[in-house]
Amino acid sequence: MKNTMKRALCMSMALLVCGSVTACGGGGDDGDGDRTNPNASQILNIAYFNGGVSVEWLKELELEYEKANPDVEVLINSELKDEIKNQKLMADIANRNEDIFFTHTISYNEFVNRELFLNITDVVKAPATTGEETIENRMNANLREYYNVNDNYYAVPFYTNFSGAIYDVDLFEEKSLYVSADGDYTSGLAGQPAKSVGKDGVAGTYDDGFPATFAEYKTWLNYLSKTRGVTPYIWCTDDSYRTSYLDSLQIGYEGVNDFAINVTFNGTTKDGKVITPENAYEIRDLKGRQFAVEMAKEIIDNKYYYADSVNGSITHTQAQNAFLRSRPDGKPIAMILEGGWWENEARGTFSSIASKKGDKYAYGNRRFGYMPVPAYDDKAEAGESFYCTSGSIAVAVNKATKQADLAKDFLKFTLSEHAMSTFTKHIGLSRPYSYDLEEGVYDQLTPFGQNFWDLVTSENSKIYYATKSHEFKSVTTFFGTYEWGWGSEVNGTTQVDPFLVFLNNKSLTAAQYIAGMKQTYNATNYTAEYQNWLSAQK
Amino acid sequence: MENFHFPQVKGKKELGGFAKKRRADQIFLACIFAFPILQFFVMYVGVNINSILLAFQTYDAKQSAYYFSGLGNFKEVIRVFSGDTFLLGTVKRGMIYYFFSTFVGMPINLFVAYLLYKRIRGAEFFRVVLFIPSLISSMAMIIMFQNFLNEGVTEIFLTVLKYDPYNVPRFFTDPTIAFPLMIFYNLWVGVGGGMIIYMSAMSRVPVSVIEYGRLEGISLLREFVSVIFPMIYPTVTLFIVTGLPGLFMGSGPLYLFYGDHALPEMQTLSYYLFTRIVGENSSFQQYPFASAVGLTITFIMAPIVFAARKFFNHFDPNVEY
Repeated sequence: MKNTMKRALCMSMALLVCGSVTACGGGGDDGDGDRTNPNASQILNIAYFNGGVSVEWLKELELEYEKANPDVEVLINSELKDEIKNQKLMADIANRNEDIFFTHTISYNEFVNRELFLNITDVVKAPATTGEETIENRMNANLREYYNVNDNYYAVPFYTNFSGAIYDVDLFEEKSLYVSADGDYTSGLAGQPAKSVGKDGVAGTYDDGFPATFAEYKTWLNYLSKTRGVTPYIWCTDDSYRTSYLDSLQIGYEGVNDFAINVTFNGTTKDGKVITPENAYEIRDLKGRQFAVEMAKEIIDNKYYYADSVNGSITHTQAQNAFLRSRPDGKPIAMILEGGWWENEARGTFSSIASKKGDKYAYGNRRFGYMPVPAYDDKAEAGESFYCTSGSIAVAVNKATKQADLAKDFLKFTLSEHAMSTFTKHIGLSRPYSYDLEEGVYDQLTPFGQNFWDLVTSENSKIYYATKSHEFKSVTTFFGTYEWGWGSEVNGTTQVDPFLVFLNNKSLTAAQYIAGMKQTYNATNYTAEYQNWLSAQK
Repeated sequence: MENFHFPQVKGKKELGGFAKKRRADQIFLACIFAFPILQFFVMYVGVNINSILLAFQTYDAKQSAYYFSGLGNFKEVIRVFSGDTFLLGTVKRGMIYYFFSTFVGMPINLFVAYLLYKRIRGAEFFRVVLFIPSLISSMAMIIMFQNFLNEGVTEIFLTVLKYDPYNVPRFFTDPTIAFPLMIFYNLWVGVGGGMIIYMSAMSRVPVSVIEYGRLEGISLLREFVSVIFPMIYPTVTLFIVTGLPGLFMGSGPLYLFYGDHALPEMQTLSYYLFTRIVGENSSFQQYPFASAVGLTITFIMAPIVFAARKFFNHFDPNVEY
């Protein structure tokens, strides 16, 4: 009896240890539990990254596709997040059940080199439907260069998004926060003083009523805060939202061409400076960075921010919540640092506020827009320039799929102009392809969605999709993730967030921070690292 | 009995009943432990061998493959650590964590364990309270801790102490507050685990020795110093010696608090290397460098650990009971 007990105990403990074997094997959900058409003989499984771009548009397309193909059932798993992020996906994709992936940011070349994505060149080099141009020709040229590997395609870009300061249009009118033509402030409504002409000096354009220069902007921020009782900014704890705002200021000043050189290490700036991989550290001298850092200093020193934004506890949804509630609650906040997906992400908050404060606060009934970037000096780039960080957010077919033809067919379907119009209708963002919105879709967009579409399609707007960086930049031990962007040596520590640095070091000046930015990436360090990299090249 | 001989069987030796049972037990144990042993070789030995090999390789982003590059990574380690003040700062902060956990945390653990061993009034209550952080999920503990400070304590500053919202202590974004707070948190959640081990060691001390001491009228302090501590000396020194590798790799739960975005002034070497392998700052290019750092630290710490063990063994009172 005692022996039997001992054996039973040993066996139980050994089984417990063997429990770790459950971690082996493939992942993915074949979605059998969610099937609505048990008669369908073909099932297509789709993995959809659960982020700010929700899945409603794809579900509408799913129904259309299934109606046209009754033998097919499309199952979408939109609860995935960390499971299909870059390195995890790279490790697991061959064992996952899904056929198509709508991913988060990926290292596209890695997936191609490891042969993890199906070759979809035949899809991309053909029209999605009859009468359209090929998908390749409709694709943004920047991204076409990135996704084309020796004239083959293994994924396609997903959507366009840019971050910046998003302002509350209704608040600006209510509190007369626009700059007027006579240098005062106005609501811009009928019967009130006209708005100023803005940075471009032309009336009736996008930047009317906004501070044209950095000096005006600083005065305006003071007016908001001290005179109108409006908190200018709110942001969440995640520093990437703040650094994305700095990127938007930098590109707003430098323009797409000069900004791109930070990534490609090749080009000639508008000042005539020739940048090559040998001297790319010199790009850090450009004034766009100086402008952005000075803006950060201005905001922090004068407390032009929502107090909770800096105490380390506010998530992006909480920041959205606080921003949206601020006006109805009588403690208005003018701008939130966010990405284009924010309004769609905050639908729940809109409903919650509307249920208490009335329908005028519901989703689609409030107006928001991207805040134009003021000119730092007279050399600022004309028009609006935006930095799209979602260029490497892709759609791809699993190389291990057992139904390549079906997957490609569905993928092609989602790349038609109709599908893209459906995407924009639901999400309010656009896809980086040329397409028109179907009739009535523009009117269905929220004011923010219309603002986004107008900016993307405007002749005065330029968008840089950051994808193909120079090979040397892949030396992450030197360039890091954020260090090359906003990194600076401050008191012997590499800092990456100017906002927090100025908050924690009141006496630090913008000039000192900028000087620190050139310390790690000075001529000596950079050249040594570059030579090291060159000699290691095979 | 004296003329008894065991039967001599030619050819295959037949096992007696006891030997048969013993063989059956051995087979049973071998089967039971086969998988865990295999797992050990794959998940520990294999992984560490791979990690060592990685230290001598470099990642080719073009080919998405590693290639042998000799001692290049170690040269990079030396170059970086001799010039990079940020990384030297991470090492320094790791050492601070180590010193606090060893020279402050350990005495606290010993003291608390001793008080509980002596069954002071409310000992059971304190045992439960102090052990709860070890039972609750780390993530849940951290969320509660953050909310307690950011919501609860901050509210006190705002409503009771009438602080300006812009001047309330920033518990997690001001490094002058956040760093000591992290050390405190580390010490606090570490009390439970150490306390149990020390209490267990103390409970092995013969009751007769304690009673003798009580009869002699020795104080609690004298009892601890002259009776308890010498008897649990091997346990204490085991903790110190096995904790020595933490000299370079000491860290608080930074990743749980901050994810990939810990303040640079808070980062330790352990956190820095971890975020180069996992998370948004990670990349395959950084694996070899991280491996080389790990191996370098091993080469430095191995003789120190052996020397420390020898040192502590020299002072071992060698109490047997």
